[in-house]
Amino acid sequence: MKILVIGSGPTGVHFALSVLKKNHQVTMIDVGTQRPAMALPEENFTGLKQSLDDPVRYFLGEKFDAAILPEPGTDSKYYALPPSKDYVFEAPQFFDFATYGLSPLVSFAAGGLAEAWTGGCYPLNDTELSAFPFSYDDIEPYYGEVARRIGIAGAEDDLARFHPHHDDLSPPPSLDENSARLLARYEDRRATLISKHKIIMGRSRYAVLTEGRDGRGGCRYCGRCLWGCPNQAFYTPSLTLRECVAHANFTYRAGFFASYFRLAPDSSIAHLVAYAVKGCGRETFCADAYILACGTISTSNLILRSVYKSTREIIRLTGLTDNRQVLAPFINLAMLGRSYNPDSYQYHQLAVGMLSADSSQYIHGQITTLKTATVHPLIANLPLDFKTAISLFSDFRSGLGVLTLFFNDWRREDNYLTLEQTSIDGARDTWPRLSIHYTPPEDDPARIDSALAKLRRFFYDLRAPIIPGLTRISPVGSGVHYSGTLPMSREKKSWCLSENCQSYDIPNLFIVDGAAMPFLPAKNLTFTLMANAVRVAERAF
Amino acid sequence: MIEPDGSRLNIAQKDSSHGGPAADSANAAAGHLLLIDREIDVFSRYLVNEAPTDYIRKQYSMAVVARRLANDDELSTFDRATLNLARRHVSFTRFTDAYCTIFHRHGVMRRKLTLLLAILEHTAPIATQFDRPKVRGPVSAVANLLVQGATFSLSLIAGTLLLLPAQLLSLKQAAKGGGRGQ
Repeated sequence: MKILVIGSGPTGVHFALSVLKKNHQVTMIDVGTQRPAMALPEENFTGLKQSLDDPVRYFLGEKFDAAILPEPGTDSKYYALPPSKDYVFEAPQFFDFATYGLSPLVSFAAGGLAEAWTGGCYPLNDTELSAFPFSYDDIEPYYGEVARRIGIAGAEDDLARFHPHHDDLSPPPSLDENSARLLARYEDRRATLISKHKIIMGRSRYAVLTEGRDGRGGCRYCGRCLWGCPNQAFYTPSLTLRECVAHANFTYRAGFFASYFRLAPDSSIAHLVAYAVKGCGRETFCADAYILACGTISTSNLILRSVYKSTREIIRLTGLTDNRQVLAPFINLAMLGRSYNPDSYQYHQLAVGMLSADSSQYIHGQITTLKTATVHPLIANLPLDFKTAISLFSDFRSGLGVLTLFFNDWRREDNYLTLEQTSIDGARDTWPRLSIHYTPPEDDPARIDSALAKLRRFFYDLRAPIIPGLTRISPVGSGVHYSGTLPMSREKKSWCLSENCQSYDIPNLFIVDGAAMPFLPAKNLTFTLMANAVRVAERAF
Repeated sequence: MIEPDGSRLNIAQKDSSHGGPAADSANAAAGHLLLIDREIDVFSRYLVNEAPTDYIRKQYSMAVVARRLANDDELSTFDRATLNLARRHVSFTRFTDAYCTIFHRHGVMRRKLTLLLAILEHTAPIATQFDRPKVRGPVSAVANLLVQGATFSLSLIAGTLLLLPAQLLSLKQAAKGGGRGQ
């Protein structure tokens, strides 16, 4: 079968790899912005500052955009994506959108948004899958398959009650001292803490290899995670793309922006029309099956444009969801005045889960202890002059950490993507642009306050108090877990998908990215998306 | 910028003696450069107790332009006042900073200090102060907390005495004229 996959993000590459193994012919269309060469791969984080010719340019960017300044009228942030990840967010000129209430991050890079992810890999349990047309048992083998492919580190601990234990978990990297002391304190008082706070702590699950395999190195604790892992111990989808490219049946056509599907009279796709990103070339691509895997925003855009091109009708794709994120810095007093080692794994190594009477309202948190993150935003956020703040920061740095909380989201009719006319004279040949509409749930402030109050007490009992006044609710869209606009549904409905992610409206179209999620639990969704893409590849092809 | 025969210098002097908009603009630019040079010297000593290297000077000069913080003429009256005071001496920088962190948090001076700090923390060997800070031990850390708290309080009092009248005045002017008092 000839299969056309659009997008090289985590779902596209894992779907492609699975169908390639079944000897299908696969062509992948992608803008495919490439990652620049890795700077001095042998150096560790601190060595980079000494060895680079122009370290400030590397760390802050040519226009110093990665310096986070206390700008008036903006919420202060604690970190920004480093310039070495700028390529992930470069967009082609064809892509234009307006937003109302949600500022999305969109990627056209080879590997997609997950080239800049933090690696969290948490399977969904049956409660979280209740809105899906399959159970945990149905998807469990595919979680295992993805874990085998990408390498997921984790432990079977208290958190297993929220995150089912699938095959092929590998031992996690060594904990940094701050995380180790925090976990030890929790384990010492485990029973009391759980019964008092209904909060559980354990090891994170994350996509990193501790020992090298398949041409990738194991984590060497160089401290460069945030800036780009130099020996590929940390998984990104471009590694699987590389695996696909090695297959004889795989054709990778980078440099194309997928514009719209030409629909045949029977509503099936006749072909895809794509434009060359450089120059003004246009090409059409035909296949037996078309797989949309370019992320919820781009996938929805392509469907909206295809319908518009075919019928001149502007439709709405409703149900856009995203995880609300809250960042709460804390200080582990057990680390006060101690040294710390920047040569360590940088992303979250611990996680917390909040028990609730309604288990669908699970709240997930990830604990990142700060080692090599840029310090100037933290120092500037302290309510002290810089001199005092720097001095105290030196003493407290080894104990600093940030708790990142995720809140679930569910599909609502008033959150949608559509097209809007931008041409004043309404010229028929002008493409209307994508517009994104989102309003957070009404109870957002209440549930955030309630969760934070519980977590403050829990962290206080861990002797790691959350620092007053520094908690930040991230702007809507910062969660980067957009989903839900073309959901799987047991019921045959317009602009929904079957159990195997086949469109009910367009028979030769399958959608395997976040758009297919009927519910967004309070967990990183990428692992589930990859597993679902493999599930679809195995069951439908 | 001076040619071997000194011709460039002569031309500039000639232009300057004639006056006119071009000369005014060149003089203003030179004035801004001097201010920025003075500023980076004082701010660097304030933040890390070290004079800036040529590399840091160059980066900071480019950064304030890139982040649109270079031109004092575009600033509010109070932002100019805080910068003028802070540039005088490291002690005044601290008083001004202590005041601004409470009462003018998003002002230009704190943005400039943050920008310079961002440069310093990524430049060896100063970066070591941030990446591998001296370890005091828990008791000394608590003692340092008390000392720093007291110093901050005194700086805040000094900053308030120096800057509160200016801020009130600029607020009053802004209310009257609808101008850029704040």
